[in-house]
Amino acid sequence: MKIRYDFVTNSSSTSFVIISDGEFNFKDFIEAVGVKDNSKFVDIYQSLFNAFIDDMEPAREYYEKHYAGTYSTFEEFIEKQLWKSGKEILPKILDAETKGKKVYIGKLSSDHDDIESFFCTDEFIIENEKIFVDAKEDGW
Amino acid sequence: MKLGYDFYKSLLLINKNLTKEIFIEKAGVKDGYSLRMFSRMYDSVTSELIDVDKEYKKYYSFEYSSIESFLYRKYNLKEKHIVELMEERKNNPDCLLYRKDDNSYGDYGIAQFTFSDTMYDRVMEILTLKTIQANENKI
Repeated sequence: MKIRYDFVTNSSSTSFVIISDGEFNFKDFIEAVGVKDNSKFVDIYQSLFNAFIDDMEPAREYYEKHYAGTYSTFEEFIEKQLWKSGKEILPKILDAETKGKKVYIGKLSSDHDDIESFFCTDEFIIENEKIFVDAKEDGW
Repeated sequence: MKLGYDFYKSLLLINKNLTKEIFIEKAGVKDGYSLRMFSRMYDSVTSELIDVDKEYKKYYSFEYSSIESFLYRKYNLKEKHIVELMEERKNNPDCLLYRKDDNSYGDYGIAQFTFSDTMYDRVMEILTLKTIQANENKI
């Protein structure tokens, strides 16, 4: 006999790629997001920044650690694992690496809090001259 | 104030002077992703709004003697919620009463997040322009 005793939930995660010219820091991030310093919503983007920091890993280390057994090269991993924007973002990653920029990959989760859940299910690009964030991989 | 009256349907008090430009300015966003996000938020909130007073006067005033009675009988609002709503209207004379389908905008995520616990008070402050009026009164 099987008895359901709680709501059925569906959690998910969304991959992101961050390219940063120098250390990925909050000051540059908030500038790229486009929110004013005195906005009453800065905390929302602080939470997003923290979620990125908590999960991001250098892209090649991330590949070696999690996907080297699945994909034969880093390039194949980017193109196939990032199913929505992989082909588009691969040249950006390779170009960034040749210029000494930092490239990170990680995942946002819908399990943590309502702020991260929203960003996990949203599809967005954050971009300026110092930072590029691609979080378009949501499948919602 | 946002009050659910049916599955994914809500009544909302929104200041009649609110525009997208004011919403964006009060949110404190200038460009990039935050501007796109708050623009979507405004579009989501204001999508397919129905002015309840106009609806009542035009179609239902011959049938129901007051808007309170209309809300009670037509939309099955509880008496305590009607009292609460009318009190809120009294305190916010520049606000109009609207009703809407919560997901009419077609972007479920932004609609949910706009009125999440994290956002509710701050978003309502902008929708009713409470702070602005309080400041103007001081001047």
